[in-house]
Amino acid sequence: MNNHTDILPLLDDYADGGLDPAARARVEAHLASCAACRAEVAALAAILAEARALPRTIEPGRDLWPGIAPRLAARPARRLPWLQLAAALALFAGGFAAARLGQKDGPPTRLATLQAEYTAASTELAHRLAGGSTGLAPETRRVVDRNLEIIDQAIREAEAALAGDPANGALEQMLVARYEQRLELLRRATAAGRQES
Amino acid sequence: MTDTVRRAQDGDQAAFHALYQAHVGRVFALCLRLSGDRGEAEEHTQDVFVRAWQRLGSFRGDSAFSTWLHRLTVNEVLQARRSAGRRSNRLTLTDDDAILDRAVAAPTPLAGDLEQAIGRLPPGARAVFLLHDVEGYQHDEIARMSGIAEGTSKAQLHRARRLLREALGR
Repeated sequence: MNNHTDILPLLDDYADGGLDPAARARVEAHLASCAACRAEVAALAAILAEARALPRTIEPGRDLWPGIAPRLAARPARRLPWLQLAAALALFAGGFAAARLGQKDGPPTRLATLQAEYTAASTELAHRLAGGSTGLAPETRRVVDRNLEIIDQAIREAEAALAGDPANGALEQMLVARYEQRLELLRRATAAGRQES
Repeated sequence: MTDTVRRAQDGDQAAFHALYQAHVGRVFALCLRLSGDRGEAEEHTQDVFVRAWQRLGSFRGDSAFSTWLHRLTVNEVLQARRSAGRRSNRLTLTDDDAILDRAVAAPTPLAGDLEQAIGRLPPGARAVFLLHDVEGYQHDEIARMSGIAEGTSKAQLHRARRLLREALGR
């Protein structure tokens, strides 16, 4: 039966051209006699046309390259992945990860990848914060600093625990979560600084 | 494959800078629409180009460089969202941590009624609408990239379209 309730769920696929011929014929038969569904389809088609016409490019308000260039290694990773990774890890305070990597022949672990990314991004963001160029209000800055202390303490504890028990996956997962949390806090802090300044 | 891409693959950072200049607007637009926040979009854009540099060796020229970079961008932003969404193993920070959220709760910087309405969609519905209706991906591709079921992608699209119609009064 081609009543309103049956047809409504099909209108999305109808608008996308995704219905088989039989279902399409059912919808079109209903549309011929239902002004509400015709209006529904017309409104949907208008939004879709507008969506497809949205500009494909939006220029950022500032040059983002200065935040990219220092993070580029001398070579893309395909030729000397271990050497490059080792160089990134050397920047990181904990030495246990390098030792763990040296024992493996497979691809970099999620922990190792995150450590390398964490080192680069965290250094850049922390530098901006330390330089006072974030535009954060004093109260916001105080909260950020206090939360960074909490996370840093947790990172130190997790690193120490993992150094004593390198095969412990739960510890590794906990450390990864701490890295991600620190990065996220720094990202939010720099974003907040842009809004407050 | 263009000469610029080939030189970047050989480690020429000046060539990679040229690729950045040619494609940053496209990458930033995608990051901005997916995240709904200019600051986040800037961070994502920088992460995308760093990741592109690291993975240039895997680009074989089977598709256009812009297509490869576009897909890398989608993956990067969606992956970052999934990571940010994992909160089961988190520290409890100070109670007034929400001060940062209040500070970043600025109006969306995108112009136009539809852009603003898209920016106000819930994240899941926004991502599916952008990928399907703006960028032209199919539900099976969106499901793979987002780590959701194909049926969920369809449901999110339906929800997004309904919310947009309501927001735009159409």
